[in-house]
Amino acid sequence: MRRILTIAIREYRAMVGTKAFLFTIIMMPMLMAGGSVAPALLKKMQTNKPKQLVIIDKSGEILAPLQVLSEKRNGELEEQADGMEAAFGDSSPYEFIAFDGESWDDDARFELSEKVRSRDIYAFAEISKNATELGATPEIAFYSEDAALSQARRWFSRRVNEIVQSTKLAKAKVDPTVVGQALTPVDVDGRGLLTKSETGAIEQAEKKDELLSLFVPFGIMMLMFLIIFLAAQPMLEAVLEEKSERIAEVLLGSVSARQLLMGKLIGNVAGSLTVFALYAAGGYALAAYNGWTDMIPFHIVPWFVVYQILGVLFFSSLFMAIGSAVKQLKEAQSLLLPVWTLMFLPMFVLMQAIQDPNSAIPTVLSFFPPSAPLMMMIRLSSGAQIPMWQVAASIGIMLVATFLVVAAAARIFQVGILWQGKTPKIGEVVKWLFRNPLVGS
Amino acid sequence: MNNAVELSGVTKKFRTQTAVDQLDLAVPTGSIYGFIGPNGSGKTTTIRMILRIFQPDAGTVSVLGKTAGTAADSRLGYLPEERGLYKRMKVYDVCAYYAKLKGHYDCHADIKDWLSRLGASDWARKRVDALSKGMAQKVQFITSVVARPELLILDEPFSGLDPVNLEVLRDAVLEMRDRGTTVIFSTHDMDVAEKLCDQIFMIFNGRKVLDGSVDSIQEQHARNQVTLRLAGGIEPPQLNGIETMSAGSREYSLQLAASQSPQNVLQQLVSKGCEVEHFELKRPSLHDIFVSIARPSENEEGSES
Repeated sequence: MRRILTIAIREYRAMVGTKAFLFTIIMMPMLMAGGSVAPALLKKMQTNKPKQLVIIDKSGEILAPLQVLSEKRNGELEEQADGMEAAFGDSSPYEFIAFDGESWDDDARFELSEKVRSRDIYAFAEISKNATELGATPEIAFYSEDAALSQARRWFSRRVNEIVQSTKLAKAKVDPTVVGQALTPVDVDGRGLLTKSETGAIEQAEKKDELLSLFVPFGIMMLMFLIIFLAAQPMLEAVLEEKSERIAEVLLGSVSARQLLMGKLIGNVAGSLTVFALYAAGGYALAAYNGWTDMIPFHIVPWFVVYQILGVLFFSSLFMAIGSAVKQLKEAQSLLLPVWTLMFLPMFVLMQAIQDPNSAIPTVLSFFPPSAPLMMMIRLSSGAQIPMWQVAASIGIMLVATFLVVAAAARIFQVGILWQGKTPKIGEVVKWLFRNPLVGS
Repeated sequence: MNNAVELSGVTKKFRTQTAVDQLDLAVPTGSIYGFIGPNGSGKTTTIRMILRIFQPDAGTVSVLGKTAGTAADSRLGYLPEERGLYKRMKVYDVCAYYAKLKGHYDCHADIKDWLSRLGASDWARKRVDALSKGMAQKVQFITSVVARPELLILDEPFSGLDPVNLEVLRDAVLEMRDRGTTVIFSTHDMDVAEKLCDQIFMIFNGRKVLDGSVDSIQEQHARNQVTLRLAGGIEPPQLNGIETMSAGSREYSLQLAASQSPQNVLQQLVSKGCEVEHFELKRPSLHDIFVSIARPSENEEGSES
């Protein structure tokens, strides 16, 4: 047992005691979140140069209130310099300038287009004369290089609509305030089902946040994937090194193949729990700093740890078996692809699993060992009530499957680590399970 | 004298291919025993059976008095050819790891002692991949001896070493022998085997073809040749029972007929009044014996091509 522990300690140190590990543990979430965070960070680094927009307002009723609204917006921008809107939205002040040309025709439009191209102004817009007439169909156009996706165009469109509506209502002698109150949308809260506590008291369900309902299961799934990936991949590389450098012979001259495998797996699980602890502590600190601690689904933490341990044992032993059967990393890639695909199956039904966690496909996938750790975590963190028997059955199946996979991996590992001939085909490796080629017939 | 290793009727097959066939071997305790044989002859398989990595299909393998069991023996030290070290580990850590795997947990003093003895103390905190080939070989040697083994198996321990480092490691091997450790020494370097080993064992196509002391092996394979030099370097006269005679720079090499004895040749020379300056019974080197056994026959060469 002490020798297994010696192996486990070395494996643990080899996994977590490197600069590469620290780099990966910091970089991976950044890369994953990079798609959304990086643009915001880049945006923050940009200078918020005012955007000038030239307006030809033929109605004569829109530009003035628009200028008032834009000044109000510019003032608010300064106050919220660090807010989410500033990070993700368009944080440039807008300046609306009246067209001062003599005549409005295609020459004028072309001239202004040239000014946009040369960055003298950001955009220009024209508002038809009948813009505020009741029953008329006004023509309003916005010209810019990025007109389709421009946030300034969206803001302009919303505000012009507000001004047009209030002007029309005033003309019809209707109080815009009353109309505004009448048209205020009513929110329909999404709530979970009511439960009864041990004392018999009925407990109200929590109000469900739509964004949170999507983000939490996705985040939990990515964390599980990340932890299993960080644990399993180095095992493959370590076994390859032990085989090619003939370290395996020295080790097997001291301990049995089973002891070696057990020691490696224990060290690996300990390493993966360290990763979890680091991410959990980091995540909690971030949540506490921002006042989001009530968003953390603490009740799933024990399940997460159970599925993590089983998932790491399952995939790490599989990866070690693959590593022992091949000679080079590139030979392992073709064998790894189906393993990753099976593990990643929940990704393909992610939305269904979040929106309807108790439907057929997510339920079935949470009983299928390679996809169970990710799928059950999505379901458990979705907020829906998952029948307890399903969780127990899923863990039971995972336990049996993990035991079988570890036993099979030990068999393949025992042969593969000493296999010096040409790289076997997958069929041959499967045959090793039933017949040891290192024993005479 | 007890035997540290005893193989009796050992056969090892891989599926239908026989790697080791009916092998008998006895390695006396405290000796340096040389394992020689061409690549693929069954040397590594035999070593792996002694290490208990492989189990024989037939026969018994007794190591340090134990015949049964699949578990590796912590009293064994093993150095595989050129490799066997984790490249990203530090020298001290890898030595300590291998010592602990052998159950030698209180190993600090031994590691320090060996590092200092082999001039590697300054490298203790360096990573293995930063070492030169010679230094890596020394560290590998330390990992195999640090747990104070009773039986030490060395696979080509001197390959690629410069003469100075070779001398250092050879002295270390002799020191281990003097401490009572039995050393099994696998090599292709016949010169080293001849000088260092008390006994030589050669395996070829899975079968034992040589086993004994260097002297006895050379005697067995003597081809009845003598080297002769007469005063003034003159050509020897016509002698009975000589098959061929070839001239060297000052000496002549005579191949005697199977029925002829060197004593009779010497008597003939004296009776003919020759003044003999040098007369030596020529003994084949281990290299010659190895090549004569392992060289493929012409038929085999033809069939391979």
